[in-house]
Amino acid sequence: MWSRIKFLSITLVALGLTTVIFSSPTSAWDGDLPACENVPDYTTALQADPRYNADTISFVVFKRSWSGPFLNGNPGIALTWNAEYDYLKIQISGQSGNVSNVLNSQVDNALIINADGTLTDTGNYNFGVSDVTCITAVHNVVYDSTYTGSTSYPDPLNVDTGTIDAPPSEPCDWWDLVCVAQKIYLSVSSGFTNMLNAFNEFVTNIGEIFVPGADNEDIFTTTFNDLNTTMRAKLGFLTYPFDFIGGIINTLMTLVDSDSKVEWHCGLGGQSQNGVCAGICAPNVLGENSVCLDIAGLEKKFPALWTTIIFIARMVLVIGLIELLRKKYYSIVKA
Amino acid sequence: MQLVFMVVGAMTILGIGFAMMPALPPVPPELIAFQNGFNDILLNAIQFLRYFFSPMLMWLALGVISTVFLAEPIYHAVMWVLRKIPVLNIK
Repeated sequence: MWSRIKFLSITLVALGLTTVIFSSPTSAWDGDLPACENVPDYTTALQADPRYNADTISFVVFKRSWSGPFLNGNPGIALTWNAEYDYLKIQISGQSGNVSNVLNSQVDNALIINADGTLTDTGNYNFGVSDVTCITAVHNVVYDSTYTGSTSYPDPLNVDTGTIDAPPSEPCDWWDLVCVAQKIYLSVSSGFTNMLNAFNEFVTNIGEIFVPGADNEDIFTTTFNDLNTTMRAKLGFLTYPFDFIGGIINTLMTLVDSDSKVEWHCGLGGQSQNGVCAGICAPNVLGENSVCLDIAGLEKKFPALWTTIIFIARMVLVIGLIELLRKKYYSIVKA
Repeated sequence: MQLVFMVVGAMTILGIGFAMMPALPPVPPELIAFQNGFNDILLNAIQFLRYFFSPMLMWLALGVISTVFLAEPIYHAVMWVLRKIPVLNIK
């Protein structure tokens, strides 16, 4: 009896998750952006810089974690918002309902804030929602008469230098299973991300205990690089296994490093990837012509069949992952 | 700061040791080519999976698989700590 109930529960959760995956091809952002804390003192340099224009630069976006590379190691980005596409206004109004689309856009005339507070002009720049930890307004934000945002959200005209919170999410209706599943999914993914961030912060803090001061990082880096170069020159082929494993890990990290989690498509619409959409090609098979196995062609020529196949495949994957977790849980608990 | 000097000193001594030892033969270029080819195939396979299952689902799958691998040692580590607390009386 209990096993049937468990199986039914797992199947329902799997179906819910699969429905969410299909109903939200882009990663919906539904949480509050945290306050901008421990940011460098950028305001003085920003306002003194001749490129700074108070009429056009309204917001400053900071990266989620400064430990990794972000645009050559720079932690922050000041944005010049295009008047024609006032993305943040769309975000606050909630009309788009999906800030990923907003923040995955290209930004014109981006100014990068360096760790020391200086500015770098980069021109255009693409960035994703996973890059962002918080958004700070650098002066009063004035919205025009066309603003039709949610009245339940605090009046954005009052936004001054400080953090802009996301509008509160609407509660789900009791019958809206997709909405409930989406909330569960977002809560789990948010909790997972927070857990990773907390662990990253913990490791960083532990490192700071043993490596006091930022200046020492340069000493360590230089010494380690010198030692690494000498060791590689002397150990020769013995370093190959480590390079091989390192290469595999680096390749696998492409699953994590990518900012955008937007679904790929080779048909009409969506984000396409030339490497995948071109198919697997063998060159010079027919004379100088290549022969390609165009797997993605199924999406273009038989979209209904493609939708069915990926629905089943993704559902099987989700059920498999849940079953994997269930088996691991019971193997630990019963051990 | 003393720790910094100790670590840098140890690394320097290691560097001197390595500098004095004779150099072993380098990695054959065929092996490096094989490694690059293997990584290219792996990257293409990952890109295909990301297209088929969506990047978000692959990211979640990686998280779940990592969790499964890490669950047991983390569980035992947590239980080891909890067993040290006499009030909890966990055997």
